[in-house]
Amino acid sequence: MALKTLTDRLHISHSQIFTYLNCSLKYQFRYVLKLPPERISLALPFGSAIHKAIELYYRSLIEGKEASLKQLQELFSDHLSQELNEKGDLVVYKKDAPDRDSAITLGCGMLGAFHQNADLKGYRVIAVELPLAATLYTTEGTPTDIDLIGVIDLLIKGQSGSLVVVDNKTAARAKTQSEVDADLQMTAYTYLLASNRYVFPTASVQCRFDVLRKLKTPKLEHHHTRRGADDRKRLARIATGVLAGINASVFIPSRSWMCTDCEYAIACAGWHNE
Amino acid sequence: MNRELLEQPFPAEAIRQREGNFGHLIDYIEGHSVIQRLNDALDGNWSFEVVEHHVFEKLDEIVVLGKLSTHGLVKSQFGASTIKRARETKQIICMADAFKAAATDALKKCATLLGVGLDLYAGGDMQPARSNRDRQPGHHRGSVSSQRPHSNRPGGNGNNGRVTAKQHQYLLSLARNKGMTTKQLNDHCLQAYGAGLDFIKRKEASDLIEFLNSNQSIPDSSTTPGGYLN
Repeated sequence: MALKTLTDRLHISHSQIFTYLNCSLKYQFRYVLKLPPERISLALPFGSAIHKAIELYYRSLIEGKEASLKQLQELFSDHLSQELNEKGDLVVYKKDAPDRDSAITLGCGMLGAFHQNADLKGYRVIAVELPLAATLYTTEGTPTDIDLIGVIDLLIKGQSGSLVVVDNKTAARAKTQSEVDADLQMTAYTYLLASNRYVFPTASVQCRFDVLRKLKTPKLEHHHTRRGADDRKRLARIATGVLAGINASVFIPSRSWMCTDCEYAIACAGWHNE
Repeated sequence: MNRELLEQPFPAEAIRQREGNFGHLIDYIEGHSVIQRLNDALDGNWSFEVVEHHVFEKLDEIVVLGKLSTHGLVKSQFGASTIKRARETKQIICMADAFKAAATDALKKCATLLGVGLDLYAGGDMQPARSNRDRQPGHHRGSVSSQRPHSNRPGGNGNNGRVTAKQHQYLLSLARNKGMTTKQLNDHCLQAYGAGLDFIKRKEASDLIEFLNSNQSIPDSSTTPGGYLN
């Protein structure tokens, strides 16, 4: 099923849930009012371009012809350049990549670390960029009118036959195990897998974050975690709570470290006067 | 006969809603509320009888002709109900319930002729109107100027609840049939209701469905700023 088909239905995604939980006003600006961003952190187009290159790599494995590092770097550079051209002056650069050239250099270095260390020995690629949708149920088992949707970066199967969900991230900071264990994104993915019968409803599903670190010497880190039925039940409760808040038009600002790069800083500053 | 009481609008809590065809929300009054109103306004001096009944088995429908008599007045109207069948065996579940439902429907229609719940009907065709208390001529346009895009809109259930999946799908297909893109529909919703299509209210969705079904087209806001919205 194509992503467009998924988004043609009333839906909520992990990204929406995450945004609402962190700042419901930002959710309103982005999803309800569809305000154009006032600025865009480089991290967004940068991460998107890295993502494209990694997708190419995994797709090439399915086709049995491993993509070269050069191919990945070219795709990354082209994609990032195009995105930066489109966004123009809106893009905000940071000290780890203060301009376009340094961003491309950084990304190419990170892809080098990825290409060298991406190891799928003992695993078979089941799907790359797998779009899934599932009816969101309340904890009482009542179906809501809303689908949970998501696109799984990579689904692999080990020799034991068990599935592993892989999500690719780029980050300057290392992830802690407690962050990995609490991350709702993986829970959302396993909810989708369970609902679409990739795994049993009660299954504890293996998950893995592949984090490409933005360092002087970039490196690829794997973080393992699991998600079970109780995690999915908790996610459903959180998601239905978020939907109730949206339905009741509860949109209020929430100050956090994320405000620094917020694309709606001006709208937020004037919100209380509207 | 207390005509004023007969025609008095029902309180919001007495008005029920169900989803009709094409995602429209239909307001209705339950049978017991109508009977209570007749008892109160006519002091119990009224009677109702089913004059004729017809069973259309092929259509799974029962139609009855009811007659409401009070103070020398007689009002007649048809009522109907669907015959319910078991999903597996297709056997009729309870014929009596279908007759009772059709009779209640006829009673409500007869009572309407006396003015009971008349405010729920509009357009002269005696089909239940979707909107009621806040319905105003040109509401689709009226709602445009009253919405401030950044305002926190009231939430809750009923018409204030979020667009249903059924309405959402129907709006998308209506738009497609009119040659509109999803983006154009979204842009229209943002202009008219201050929210993207996925977040408009049920009432707004019903209004929009009605508007698109009326064969009017939504002008391109980029070429006609304000356009029909003013």
